[in-house]
Amino acid sequence: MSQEEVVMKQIVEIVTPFVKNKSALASITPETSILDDLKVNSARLVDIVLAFEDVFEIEIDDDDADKVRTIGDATKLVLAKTA
Amino acid sequence: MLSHAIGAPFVWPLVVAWMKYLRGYRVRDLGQIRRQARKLLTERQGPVLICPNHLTYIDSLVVQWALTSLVQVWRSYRLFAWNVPELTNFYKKSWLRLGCYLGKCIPIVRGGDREQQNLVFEKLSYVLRQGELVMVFPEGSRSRTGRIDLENLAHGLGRMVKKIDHCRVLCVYIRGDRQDRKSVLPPAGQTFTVDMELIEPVSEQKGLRATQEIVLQIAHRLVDMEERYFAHR
Repeated sequence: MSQEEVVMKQIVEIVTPFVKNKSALASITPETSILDDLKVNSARLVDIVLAFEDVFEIEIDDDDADKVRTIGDATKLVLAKTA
Repeated sequence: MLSHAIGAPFVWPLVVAWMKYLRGYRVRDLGQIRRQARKLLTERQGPVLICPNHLTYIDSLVVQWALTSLVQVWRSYRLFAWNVPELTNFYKKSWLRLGCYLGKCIPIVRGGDREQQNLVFEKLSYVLRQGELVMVFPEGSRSRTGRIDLENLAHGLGRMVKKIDHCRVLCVYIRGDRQDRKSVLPPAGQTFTVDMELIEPVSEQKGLRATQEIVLQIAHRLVDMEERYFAHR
């Protein structure tokens, strides 16, 4: 499993408790939108990004947090911050 | 500004008359509330955000009426706060759209496009820096529980406070005697109790954590006021 896949798996685990559309989790891809496809409440996105900070021991600023729209965006952000 | 020329002298008195005479709303200790608000809002120069709790669609109107008299608004339209109504609620009908224009509103789509939201917060930051008052509901939308809802806090508010130096926040807790849960309008004949505290939220944290801490400081202050309200009810 590549590092990207490992990170993506961890991200999906973090996001899962906030997902309203649980059926979308079965077909999750990097293109899956956290808000539109997984139906995560936009206010909860902040909690998710803060969880990324805790789990991956990184610091994410407001502008970077704004760029997180899909699972792939989150994966790229975490990989960039942990590089 | 057209909203200044028409809104303050003509529209706002009509809105106040509607609340006072047609809806029968009253504010407990109104004179004392306004004196307190005047002292807090004018004792020091600088940006001030007004952050009330949110239970009905007209909370911003009731808060504005409770905090400032018509004469104060006529004298200084700065004391009439800018509002951030939800676009889909308030911009469907032309008369509401006109009212929003005359009432210093910058519409937002909650949970909408991030760029659009950031643009709204940029505009609000600009008017705040100009010394205008801005009213934002920290809960984002009307509370589903009837109590301060800490689940859906508006994090854009935290960003704004963080970006603007020495931004103070006037936390306002307002509740009608018979307001048990959220509604479109407060029940007619309602008497409102108002409580307020001026704070300057700060955070030692960085990034998103600072944003969250600032929003929580504001929301928790409202929670404290809510507890005080129910303890004395």
